[in-house]
Amino acid sequence: MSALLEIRALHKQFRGLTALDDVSFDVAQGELLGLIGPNGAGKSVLINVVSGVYAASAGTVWLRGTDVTSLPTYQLARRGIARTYQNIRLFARMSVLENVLVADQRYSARPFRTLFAGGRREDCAAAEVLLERVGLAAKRDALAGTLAYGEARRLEIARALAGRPRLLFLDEPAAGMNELESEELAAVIRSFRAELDVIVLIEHDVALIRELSDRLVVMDSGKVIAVGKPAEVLADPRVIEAYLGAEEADG
Amino acid sequence: MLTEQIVNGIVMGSLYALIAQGYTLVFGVLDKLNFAHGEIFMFGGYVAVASVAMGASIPLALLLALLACGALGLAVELVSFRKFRSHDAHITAALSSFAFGLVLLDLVQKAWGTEPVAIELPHALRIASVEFLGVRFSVVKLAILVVALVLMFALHLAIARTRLGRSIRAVAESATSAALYGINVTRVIQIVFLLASAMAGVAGAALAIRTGFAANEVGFTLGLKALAIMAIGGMGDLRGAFLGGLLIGVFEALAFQWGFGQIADTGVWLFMIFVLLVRPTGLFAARASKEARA
Repeated sequence: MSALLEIRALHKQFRGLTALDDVSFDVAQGELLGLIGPNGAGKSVLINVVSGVYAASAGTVWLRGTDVTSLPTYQLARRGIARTYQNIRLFARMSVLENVLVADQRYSARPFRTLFAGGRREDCAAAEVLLERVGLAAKRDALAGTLAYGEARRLEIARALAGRPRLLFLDEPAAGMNELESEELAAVIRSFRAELDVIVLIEHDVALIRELSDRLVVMDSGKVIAVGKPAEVLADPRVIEAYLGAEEADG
Repeated sequence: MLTEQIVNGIVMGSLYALIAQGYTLVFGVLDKLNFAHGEIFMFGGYVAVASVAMGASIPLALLLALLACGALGLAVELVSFRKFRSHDAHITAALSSFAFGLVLLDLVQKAWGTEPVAIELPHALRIASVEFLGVRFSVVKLAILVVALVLMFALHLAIARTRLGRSIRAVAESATSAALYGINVTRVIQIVFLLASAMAGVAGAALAIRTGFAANEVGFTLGLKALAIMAIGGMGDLRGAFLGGLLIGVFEALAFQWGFGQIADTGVWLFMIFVLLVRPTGLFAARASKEARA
């Protein structure tokens, strides 16, 4: 049986700079995959390529056996790929509820419903359930631009889930969060696991990633350097060196 | 007399607003100015002339102008904006759309000549009027006002309340994010051009019906004035374009009434320069415009 998502020999070049260098790995149905590596390892670039924000320079992304590498972004979204950003990018001038509603494009193929079904009760109800689950029900009419940091992060997740995706990529969802907030976030992520086929989580918080992930992929300098169970991978000397090396370089 | 002039001003202002909303809609979504917009508005007048000459009723003429100019909007999006989506391409898109407008103007001059072309309205319709509060109002003018207000109200509702409107606002904030949530950005931009140009077409047809002729210089004169009105109201702000249009319409009417007709045209541009100096976000913008934020 083939994996749900197969990434094969993916390359991404930015004017001579190699951001992704022959990246290959699989993600299986039901898996929560942790994607880690030092800053600049290419993790976010990988998400950007898979979600269609960047075009791949070479290589293939297979989704359920279909080559989706060169599909436009919105079609990838309609095929069930959703992602959040490392730096929050909500629709700041829209309400919290509208941020969720706008991401629900299930009727996109039906122009008249698109035009006239503005705030149909069942859509709003579905959006409100999502807001409830991420703890934002009380903020439904607030402008997204006015949310506190932790709230904005959770709204990003609710918005990503509004289109009923099958694959969710979370790019450092706990970045900048305090311990309590990241515990709440871990609970939110766990509560959505059963509804998604795949979650790929980029995270620097090793405790969080060890706790949530089934498997880890470690990247460094655009390459995959280790794949495996969290406990094994985190004990791998090459992984430790990549992290330590990065810290030395940072320091 | 004064009431009549104010009503005239409001009627004209509603047409300015109709055109200005088209500029501002495109600007709000793309951050780019569509310089073909004025000529598309101009073309609406000629569609009305041709339709009426072929026996169409006034409502049908307005509808045909709406459709024809909406189609032109799709064309200008395809040739002058589709390839120049990036933020570095402001000038390219502006130049290309400007050229598009000039080509359209030239084609109209080739087809109808450079002199204004009269529109054949039934005499009874032209002189029809109703009395209200002791003042006589022309039915044609009132009908134009109603059409303009209904269109702008419908646009407002579409933007504020519908799925399509939400998608348009999402693309306006971030096309990349909108695409990530399944919105077909190209389709949304096409719809924006369609709506903006259709409204300009109706404005052009309404102007021709009101004045009794289609003239090919209105793209430059009134079309550009609507651009100033957009800036006065706040770039990218629909409400600002609406209020700005009415304000300038009434201002001009009063200027004529009190014998300052010659300064009315220049007045708009002076006013725009002044507004941009003291309030770059526009008179009515509730939020900082994109220009001011950049």
